[in-house]
Amino acid sequence: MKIVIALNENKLDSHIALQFGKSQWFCIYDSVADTNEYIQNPMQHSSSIDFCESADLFIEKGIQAAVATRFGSKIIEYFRSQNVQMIMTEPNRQANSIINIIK
Amino acid sequence: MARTKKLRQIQMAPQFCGFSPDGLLKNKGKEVSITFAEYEALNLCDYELMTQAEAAVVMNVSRPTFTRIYESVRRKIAKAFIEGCTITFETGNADIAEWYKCNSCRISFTIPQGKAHECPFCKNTDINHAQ
Repeated sequence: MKIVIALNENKLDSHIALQFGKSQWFCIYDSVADTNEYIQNPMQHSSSIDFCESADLFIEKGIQAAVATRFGSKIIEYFRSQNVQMIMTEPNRQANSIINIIK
Repeated sequence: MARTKKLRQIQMAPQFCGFSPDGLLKNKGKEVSITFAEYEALNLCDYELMTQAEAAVVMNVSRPTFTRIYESVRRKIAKAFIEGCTITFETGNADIAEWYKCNSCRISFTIPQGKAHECPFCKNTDINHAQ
């Protein structure tokens, strides 16, 4: 299973970002290969419409679930249409705690 | 006969009940009620930075209707700020998208088509509708 986690920094002990589309970094974790990849969010200051246009990248990478503290309306609509599961957690949670659960 | 109002599409309701001004004694009767549709209009335009035309499409309303909702919420917030009113949220005429909450680990999540009705983290099947 591949999941994308919205993060404030590009490291595993980073806290989960408050809003998916406005996060600075994304961590793509593959539970089969046990690998993670960090992608910087170039659209963090853009509108949610512009961000959604770049979200195809996650679908191309085979993402099945996305984790953040909150999701914007446009990305919720987009992920629902792509059958991607959205998971909202509390903001003080770290990325490695989520990866340990998914493993 | 009056025309029935179309439901306003809301992707996520607010995660809290409202706001109250700090440093004021509770002002009985001084309350402003904001509907989920108004909350969503403010979120789409001023937080997610959409244009009014784009936001109207997301909420499944016409552009003039969206403008009315948006102006209404801005006036209500101005009134609450200036007069020190409590802000409360109410459901109103809204169609809220489905979210679930795990009663064990307290996360909220969606369930895509074909997926089991269980928490994606703890696999607990004790889940409720979040809204």
